[in-house]
Amino acid sequence: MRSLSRRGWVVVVVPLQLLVVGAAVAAPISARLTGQEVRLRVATIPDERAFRGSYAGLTYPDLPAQRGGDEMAARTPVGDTAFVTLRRSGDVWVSGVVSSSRPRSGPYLACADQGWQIQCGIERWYVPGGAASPLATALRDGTAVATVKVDSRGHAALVAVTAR
Amino acid sequence: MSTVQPSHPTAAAGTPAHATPAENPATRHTATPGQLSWLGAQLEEWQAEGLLAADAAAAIRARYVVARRVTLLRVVLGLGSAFVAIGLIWLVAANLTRFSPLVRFVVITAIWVLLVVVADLVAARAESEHDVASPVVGAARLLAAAGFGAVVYQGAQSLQVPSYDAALLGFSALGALLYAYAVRGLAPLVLAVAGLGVWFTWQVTEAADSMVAFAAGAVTVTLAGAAVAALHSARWRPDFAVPWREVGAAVGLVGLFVAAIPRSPGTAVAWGTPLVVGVVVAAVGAVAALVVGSRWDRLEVALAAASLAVAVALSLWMTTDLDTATLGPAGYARAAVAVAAYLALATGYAALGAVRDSTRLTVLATIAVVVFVTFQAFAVFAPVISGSALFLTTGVVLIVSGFLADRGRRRLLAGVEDDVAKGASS
Repeated sequence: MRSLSRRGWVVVVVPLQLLVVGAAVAAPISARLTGQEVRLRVATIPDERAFRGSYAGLTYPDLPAQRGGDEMAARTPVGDTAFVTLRRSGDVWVSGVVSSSRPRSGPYLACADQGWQIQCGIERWYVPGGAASPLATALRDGTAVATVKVDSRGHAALVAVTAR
Repeated sequence: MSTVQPSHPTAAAGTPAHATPAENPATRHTATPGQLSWLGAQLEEWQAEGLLAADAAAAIRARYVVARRVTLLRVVLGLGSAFVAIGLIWLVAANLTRFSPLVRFVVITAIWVLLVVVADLVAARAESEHDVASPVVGAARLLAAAGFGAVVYQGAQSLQVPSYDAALLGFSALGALLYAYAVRGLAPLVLAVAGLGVWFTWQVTEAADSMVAFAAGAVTVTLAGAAVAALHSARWRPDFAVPWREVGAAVGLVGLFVAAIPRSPGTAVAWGTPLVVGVVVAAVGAVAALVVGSRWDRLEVALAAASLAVAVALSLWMTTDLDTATLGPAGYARAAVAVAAYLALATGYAALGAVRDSTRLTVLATIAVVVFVTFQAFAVFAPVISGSALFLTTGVVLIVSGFLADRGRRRLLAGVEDDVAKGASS
C-alpha cells in the first residue's frame, strides 16, 4: 500500500484524470475521428442573442427543430434520444425521418430531445471576429454551409462553417 | 522527498528517550483542544501517582497536534476556496468568449495542473514541518479537485457537448475521487462524494423520468455510502468513512422525504437501467461491508438497507385518496405509515451520528425530522388532525425513543465495562 509516495500517486492519477476527461467527451471525439462528412445548410438563430462574443448560436433549416404531429403525441420522456436520418439533396444533406428508435443504416444523427427543441450537439460555433465578420453575414443571409462529421452511432461534431 | 517512514512501535517503546516521536510524522496525530486538555490533566495525574516519568509524559504529549474542528482560519480558507472555484467555472462559462475553443480548454487545463502542483507543494511543506493538521493543505486540494471539474466542463463546452448533461457531473466527481484517494485528502473526498451522490440521483431520474426513480436512486446512494463507510472504518483509513456516511445520509433523507409524498395510481413507475445497476452495485458493497464490518458497521449498513426498502415500498404504495379534504382510510393509513417510517429512520441516523461521534449527522437528521413533520402537517394531515396534534404525537414518540435509546446506551456502557473487567481478569 505504501510502495508509492503521495507525490507518486499524484503523478499516476493526473493522467488517469485526463482519461476521464477523454471519456467525458468521447462522443464528439469519436465523431471527429471516425465520422462521415456531411454538408448541411446553416444559419444563425433568428434572435438578437445569435452572437455571444465570438460564439454563434446556429440553426439548421433542413433539420427538424422539434418533433411534430404524431411523433409529438407518442413522445417518450424528455431527455430521450431522437434519431434523425439524413439523405443527400444536391450538394447538401437534409433530414429524412425522425424516430425514437435507432435507424438500421446511416448516416443519421442521435440528438437529445428536450421537448421544445432537438439538440444534436452542433448548435454553436466559434466565429473569429464575432457578429461583424463576413462569415457572420453569410450566416445571417442563410448562405453558409456547415461541415459536420457523423459517426456510426449518430454522434455529430461540427468541424467547419463556410460561406457558400 | 515525501517518503513515508515506516513506524516501528516496538523499537520506539524500547528506546523512549531519544527516538522522539515528534520527529516522525507517522506517529503524530491530531486532537481537539478538548481532548488535549483532558490528556494533559490525565498525564499530570499519572505523573503525580508515579505511574509515568516526566520525560515519558512529555513524549506522549508531543505525539499530538491541536486541530480545532472549525477554526476561523478553516472557515475563511474554505469559503475562499469555494469562491475561487465558483469564480473559475464562471470565468470559463461566461467571460472567455474571445478565445477559441481549444485555447479555452488549454487555459483551464493549465490552471488545473497549476492547482495540483500548488497543492502538492503546500502539502510537502506542511509534511516537512510535521504540520499534520494544516487547513491550508485541505483548501489547496479542494481547489485542485474543483479545478478538475472545470476542465471536464470546459472540454465538453469546447466540443459542443451540452453542459446540463448529468454525465459531466459524474465524470467530474470521478476525477475528484481519484485525486482524493491519491493524495489521501478529506476535503476533495467530500466534494467527490457529494458530486457522485447528486450525479447518480440525477442520472437515474433522467433515465426513468419518475419520482419513484428519484426516491429509490437517492436512497441507493445512502446504501452505497454506508457500505463504503463501513469498509473504511473496518479496514483502511477510518477517517475516510465520514464523507461517505454523512453525504449518503443527507441524500437519502431527501429521497425518503420524496418517497413519503402521496402519489395517485397511474403515476409512472419506471426504474431504468442506471438505477438497477446502481442498486446491484450498492447491494454487493453492502454484503462486503456486512462480512468484514464490526457490529456497528453492520447496523449502519442495515439502517441504509431498511431506508432503501422503505423508500421503494412507499413509492409503490399509491392511493386514490389524494384529495386531503376527503382523506379516506387508505390515504390515512399510508400517511401514518410514511410518517412513522420516516421518524424511525431519521431517528436511526441521529443515533448513528451519536455512535459515530458526528454532531453534523445528528443535527442533519434532526433538521430533516422537523422539516418533514412540518411539511406533512400542512400538506397531508391538515384536514385530518390539527398540526398541533401531529406535533404533540411526534414529540411524544421522539421522547419515548429517547428514553429507549438512553436505556440502550446504559446497557452498552455496562457491556463495555464488563469487557474491560474481563480483559483485566484474564
